[in-house]
Amino acid sequence: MDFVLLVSRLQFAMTAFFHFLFVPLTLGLSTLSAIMLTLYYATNKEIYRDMAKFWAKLFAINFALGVATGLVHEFEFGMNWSVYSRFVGDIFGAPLAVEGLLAFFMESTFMGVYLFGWDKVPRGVHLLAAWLSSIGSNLSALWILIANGWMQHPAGAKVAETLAGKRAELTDWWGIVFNPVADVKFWHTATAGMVLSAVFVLAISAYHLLKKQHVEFFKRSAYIALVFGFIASVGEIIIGDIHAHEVAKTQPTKLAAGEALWETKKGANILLFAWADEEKQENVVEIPLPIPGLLSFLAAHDFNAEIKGAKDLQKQFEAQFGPGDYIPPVNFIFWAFHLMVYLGFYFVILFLLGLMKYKNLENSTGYLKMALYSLPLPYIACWLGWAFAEVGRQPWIVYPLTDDFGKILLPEIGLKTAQAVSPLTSVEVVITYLIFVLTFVGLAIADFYLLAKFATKGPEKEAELY
Amino acid sequence: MHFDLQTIWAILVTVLIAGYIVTDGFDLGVGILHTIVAKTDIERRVTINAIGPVWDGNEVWFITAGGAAFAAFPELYAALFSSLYIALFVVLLALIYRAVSFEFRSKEESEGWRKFWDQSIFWSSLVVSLLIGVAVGNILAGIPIKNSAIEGDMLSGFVYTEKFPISFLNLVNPFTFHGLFGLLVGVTTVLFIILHGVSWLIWKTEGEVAERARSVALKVWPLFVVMYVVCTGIAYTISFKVSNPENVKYLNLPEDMLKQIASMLNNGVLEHALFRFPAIEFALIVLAALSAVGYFFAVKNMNGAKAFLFSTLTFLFAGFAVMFGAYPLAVPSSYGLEHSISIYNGCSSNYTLTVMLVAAIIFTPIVIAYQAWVYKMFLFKISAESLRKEIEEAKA
Repeated sequence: MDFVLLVSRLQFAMTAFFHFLFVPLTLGLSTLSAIMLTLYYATNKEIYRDMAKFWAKLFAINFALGVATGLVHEFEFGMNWSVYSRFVGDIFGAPLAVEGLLAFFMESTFMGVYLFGWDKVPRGVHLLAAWLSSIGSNLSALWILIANGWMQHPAGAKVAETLAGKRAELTDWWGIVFNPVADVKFWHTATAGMVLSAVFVLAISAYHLLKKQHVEFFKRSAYIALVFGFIASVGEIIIGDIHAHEVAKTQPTKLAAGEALWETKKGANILLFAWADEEKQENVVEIPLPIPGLLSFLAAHDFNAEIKGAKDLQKQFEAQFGPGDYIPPVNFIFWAFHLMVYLGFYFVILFLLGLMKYKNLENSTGYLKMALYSLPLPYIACWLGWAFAEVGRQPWIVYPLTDDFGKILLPEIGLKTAQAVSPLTSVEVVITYLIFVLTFVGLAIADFYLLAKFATKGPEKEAELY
Repeated sequence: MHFDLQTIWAILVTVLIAGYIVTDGFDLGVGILHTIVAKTDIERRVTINAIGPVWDGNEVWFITAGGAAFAAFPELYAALFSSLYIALFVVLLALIYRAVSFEFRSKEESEGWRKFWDQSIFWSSLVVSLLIGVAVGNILAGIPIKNSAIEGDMLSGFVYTEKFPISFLNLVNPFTFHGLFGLLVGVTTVLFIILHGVSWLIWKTEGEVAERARSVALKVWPLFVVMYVVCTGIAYTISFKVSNPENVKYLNLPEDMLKQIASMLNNGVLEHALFRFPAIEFALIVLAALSAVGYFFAVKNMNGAKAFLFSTLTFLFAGFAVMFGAYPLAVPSSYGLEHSISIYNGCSSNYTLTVMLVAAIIFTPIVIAYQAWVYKMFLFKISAESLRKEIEEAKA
């Protein structure tokens, strides 16, 4: 692979991963904290005020890095992917601009009011600010995922020529807003943020309950997290299924790689475990789920439906788009997808167990330990999900538009990642890559240090000041 | 000037950039002044808390301006961001450090920790301000981009052609015209940002910090005026050439604009390219200068609100002078006018521009309204005294 391309891909992936270390907590914790604030203003119980404050403080520490890495993300499109940016700008830029105007302003402005407005602004305004900020952050996710969804399934567009070259042009605004791929992506991501935040609150509460400190405070926090998390994690499984169904319809190569399916098959199975020899294009080991035809059913809602295998898809794409490798790395994609799904089921069990043990939670040492050590898992699940979505789309940066049966409708809108990179020099990309890695790692460490410090300190009476 | 979609969007993007400089500008200024006007720890907390609830929302103007440029002028977004690669990288890095510095600084008691983040706030604010100016100067002088479509490459768009290993050094090379001009505009921008920051500190704080900020402004002000005059003088000399008249059609300009430019050409050179309409251009510059005078007296009388109004006006007039001077070009090419990005060959389709215009017309006033409302809520004065009291009360 071309060096500049390789480093640009690494840099973008790295930014995405760091960005998504902070974003899902922003999405969910803003809602959890707003719920606690609502309870405080509704009941006037001091404990809810302290809870809202405590979790909002952790939220704020986390938020700063989310904004910073998000800024880098938006600008990296133009910096490293200029050909992509000019090719899709007519469409892709619009949701990004709307995100800023409609959502991000709302989120950041009202977050300032929420975090710094304690006893300074009227109660009603304060509560409104907390909710507007939470709604703003989730709306922000919606617009970003509309943009990302379009790269997966470029609906509402055509290819046209201007005096600066060929490009994709918008033909139907509502087509990109109500792009089915984008919309399920949003619900999938928003619920993932809720699950992650619930695990976050649960794990930190477990830490304090294990130490038998602030028991009342953290038991209540844990309860809110358990209820919220259980609903979100069940929702996540349902939405995840709908999402997988959309992928199956629109991105046949991603589906084939995600299920390690080499041969075209009627009544295809879901594999619980597989390891492929990607050279020979076959599986070395595979353990199917003992429900025959389940993959066909999930993908096409028919146990007997034919699912295209990687080998046939490779032939079909080669015939249409010329020589190249059209199947994403199978083992990587299979495991990213499957581990994410397994973790999704694990979270349901985690929350369910917690709800069952809730009455005596502070003495359920085993469960509390399980909850504490689960803290990294939702982060891993989010990363795996993104890796599946983005690496699974390769070699395309814009996947050619298909109909609901995987038939390609608009081949000329497909753009390969290798075509999309900026004309930069190796020195430039290497310098920025290394410095970004060092910066992000350093700041993430500082951030986790502060998060850990304030999380383990527990609720404190302190002025809300910088 | 035509009042078509492209022009309206050029104005809108300029408004968003102006929104960024007016809002985040003052907190960048406060960041630069942070280590200069605040000496003790509690004073430093005064400067940070003066911008505490608002800096985050202010930064969104930058993100929105970036997004709007992407949506309305994708060729410009793609070409400019990849051409100014390292410069933008440094700006982003500085913005990252700035954001976390505010967040992290007061969360540890240790003196070393706080000093580290104080320095980080100063340098990051300085670098962002400087490089924004450097970029504007370089763009106005013309950057080496070529329209690949002229040579039949229909995918690459406008491509930066100078293959330095690190193109950034070229932007600040004082031995080239564009590099020198970039640096001068950069320094002018920093001086303006400092003045703007002072007006906020006088408005929002009282006591020692505000006093010191005032004396800084009175010293910086004459420097700013001199630099602004120098930059204007140099900008007046800028000319663009046309290498191949046949290719000027690639700018995609409306017929009458094309004719007008053709009639102004002198041996293939467009002289005083940024002052093609000198009356309007100079009127804007004089208005900027008058606002700067108003600023001086407002600061002298410690009237923060008025000073803020006048520094805002100074920037708005100066900023629109830049936009109007370049119009209808967005990024002039040093290879010749025909390789430039204009607002007509760099824009999105009319459909996209229309859809986005509807969104902008609905949401921009809403954003401005609620930001103004939030500002109003947080406009109470703070000082070292008031912060000390607040910290004590919370503990009790």
